[in-house]
Amino acid sequence: MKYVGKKILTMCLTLLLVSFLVFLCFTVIPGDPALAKLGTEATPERVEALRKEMGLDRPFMVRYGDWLISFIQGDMGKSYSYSLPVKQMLADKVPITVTMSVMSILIIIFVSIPLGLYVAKREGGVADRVIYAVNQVIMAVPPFFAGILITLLFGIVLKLFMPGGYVSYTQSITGFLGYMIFPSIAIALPKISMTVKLLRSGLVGEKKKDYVRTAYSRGNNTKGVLYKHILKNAMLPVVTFLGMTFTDIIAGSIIVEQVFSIPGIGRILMTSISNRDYPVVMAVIVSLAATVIVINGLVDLIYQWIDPRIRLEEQS
Amino acid sequence: MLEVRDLNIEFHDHSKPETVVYDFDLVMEEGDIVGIVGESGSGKTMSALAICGLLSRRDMKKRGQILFQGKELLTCSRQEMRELQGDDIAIIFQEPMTSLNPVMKIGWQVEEALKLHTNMTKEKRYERAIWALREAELPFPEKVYDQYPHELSGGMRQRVMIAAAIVCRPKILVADEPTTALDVTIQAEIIELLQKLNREYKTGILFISHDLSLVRKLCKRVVVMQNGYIVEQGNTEQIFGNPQKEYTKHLIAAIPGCDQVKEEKDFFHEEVVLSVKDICVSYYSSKGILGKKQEQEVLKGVDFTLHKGEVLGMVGESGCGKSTLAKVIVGLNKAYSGKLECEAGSVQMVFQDPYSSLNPRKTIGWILEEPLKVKGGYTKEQRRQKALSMLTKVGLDPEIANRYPGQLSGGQRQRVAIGLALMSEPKVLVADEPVSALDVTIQAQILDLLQRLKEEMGLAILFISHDLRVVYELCDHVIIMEKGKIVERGTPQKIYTSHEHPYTGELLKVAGIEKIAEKF
Repeated sequence: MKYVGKKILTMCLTLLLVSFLVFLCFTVIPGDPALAKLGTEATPERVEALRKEMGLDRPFMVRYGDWLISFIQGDMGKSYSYSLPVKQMLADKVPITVTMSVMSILIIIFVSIPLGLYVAKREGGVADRVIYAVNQVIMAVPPFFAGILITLLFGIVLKLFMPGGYVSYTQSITGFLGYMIFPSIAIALPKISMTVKLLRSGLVGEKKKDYVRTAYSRGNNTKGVLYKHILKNAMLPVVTFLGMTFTDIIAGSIIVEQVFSIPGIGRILMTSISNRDYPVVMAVIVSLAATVIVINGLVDLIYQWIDPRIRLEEQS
Repeated sequence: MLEVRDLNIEFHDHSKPETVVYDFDLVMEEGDIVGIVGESGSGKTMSALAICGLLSRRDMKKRGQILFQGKELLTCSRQEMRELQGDDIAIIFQEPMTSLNPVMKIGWQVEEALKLHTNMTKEKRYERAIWALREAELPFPEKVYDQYPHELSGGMRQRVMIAAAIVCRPKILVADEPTTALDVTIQAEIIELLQKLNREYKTGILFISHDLSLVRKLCKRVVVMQNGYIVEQGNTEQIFGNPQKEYTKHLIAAIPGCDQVKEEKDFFHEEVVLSVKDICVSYYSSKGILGKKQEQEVLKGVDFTLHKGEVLGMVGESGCGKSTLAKVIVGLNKAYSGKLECEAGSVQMVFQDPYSSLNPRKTIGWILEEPLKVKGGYTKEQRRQKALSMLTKVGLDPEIANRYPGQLSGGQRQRVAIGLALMSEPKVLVADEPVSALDVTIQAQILDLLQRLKEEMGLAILFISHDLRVVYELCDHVIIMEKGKIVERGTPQKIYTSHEHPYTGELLKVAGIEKIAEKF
């Protein structure tokens, strides 16, 4: 329990640091929210007045402190550009991005683990070599390009979905999921090939270890040795990789959302940055950071659950 | 019960088939203890793995017959073989550190054979596993049941392996070098455990080892193998007392004996090349960032002097601090207190493991030349010449200079390692268990080499070992270490005949030379 408490404390400190750095960044980089809001109607006097109204003329630390206190109280502030509470703006965007990320991680897990086991069993065979070659190619394709190809093939040629015809989950859950499957595949593809490769080399490497010989000597068949002994050991690097992948996916969703014109978190982050809409940017980045930190913590827990050697080190 | 006839093992994974065992014959009755001895590459492990059905049928062509209770193991279905594996035929391996699955609990691993071969209930299996752990003489079997391999020492892990092997009460237990990786005192305990299992449950034991003294102690019959052939087999007394074949005689002669009386040499008038005074080393481990530091004393005030031309043997079990002391002397550990006097750069070291102490990506020539490059002041040609003459000096063909460590045998690599240590013309050579990873006949050759180099170059050698026999042969003086302290010192003659400290007695006993006094 003490360990968990410590962990949560470090998480909070990390979040605090992230928020401070982001806040600092937007003070340092050029661009003025008041100027952006006024646009063509800007005169120096009006900008000055608006700055005062928005509280931008106060010292940096005061503004940060203000933001922090209201954020902790659950108030994310008001968007500069839309004059809407940030919470309300994000509320219907978050499920979209979360759905996409979760869908892609599920695709990765359910495709790559059976595939990794399949190729490892046929090490050196035709299937192994073909999948290896295909993997090398897929690994090199970034998600946005895969997205374009998928749009072309499934959208324009096969007409399985309407490119750009995003269906909101408020209208139709099945339509929404049907549309989301394609961007999720685009995100998952390169990660699948990496996971397959990692799992395959893990399994093949573990196969040669001494404990495998021991397992055979007890009368296990090949399947028993693979599933009861080797898999858990070979999953260790894969779990670490999947953890990093999940955070990567969330960050990478920004680009894929553009390609498939999905109104998710990524989209709103892009527009807010160019509009200097700081309250929105802050809220998005801090929540992203929180998600990443929580996932890392979960991966740590899973890792300890699989590998007893780590458990011991953490306890002592 | 077990009958092997004309077994031939051929590997087919390379373009040319390679035969590793020729015409192997063996008969084992119930409750027999049979030993197979031979050096690495003699085919002893391959024969054992074949009996246990652990050789891949794809890469391997086996001829001959292995009959277990009348069943032909080479032609029976895999399923039939699997039913015997772990149930009637069990095996324990040489490497207890890696032979257990690191992510599974001990209990699970011990019970596995029960799950595969019986339909016991969970409670019954637990009871049986605890019985096996207790039978293997593990303290607190209930606690060990819930532990993971990394929480146990090597000796305990080997006991777990034994427990897992005997859990189904096998008829034959194949033990492939089960004690080689363990300390001497633990070695003796494992041997006693095997004897007990044989006595109480009539478990037949096929004991594979390169250590003839162990085989002599344990086995009723012995098979001697060389290069895949059986050289000789018979009763233990007959083989050791009256060997018929040259190779057997050679093997027995290569066991470092303690039978010749040694002349005592006086080194007091020689130059002191190394002086160690009151050396203390502690390791600190801390619990977490804020945790309290815990001090662990590894060396508690060690002192000795080493004279020119003297060989000093340092004996003790792992954890007694001997390797730490070696590190202090060669300057790899600077966190010590006490006084260390030696000429700068005059100490060199040879390590235990000739397989991993040479860079596999560099040629032997490059490796030997490196100390000269570091030192500077030699031309390329001079360096080459020196490296080549060093190879001759350590008894190797200079041709080897262009090869890589992976292409050499263990003995050859250890010669290179010794040559490497001598390149910078040291006065003191620290040899940390330089022969314990080698076969007996190779061991004898390396010891001869050290002896010769010592005389030619006037080297002083600090020889660290756990093998009292080797130490007796080579050393002029011996110090016995226990838990970071020197508990006894003197000439080998004196220590081996009239020791004072009980720990020395224990070490002598497990080495099987307690009765040496009678010889003098």
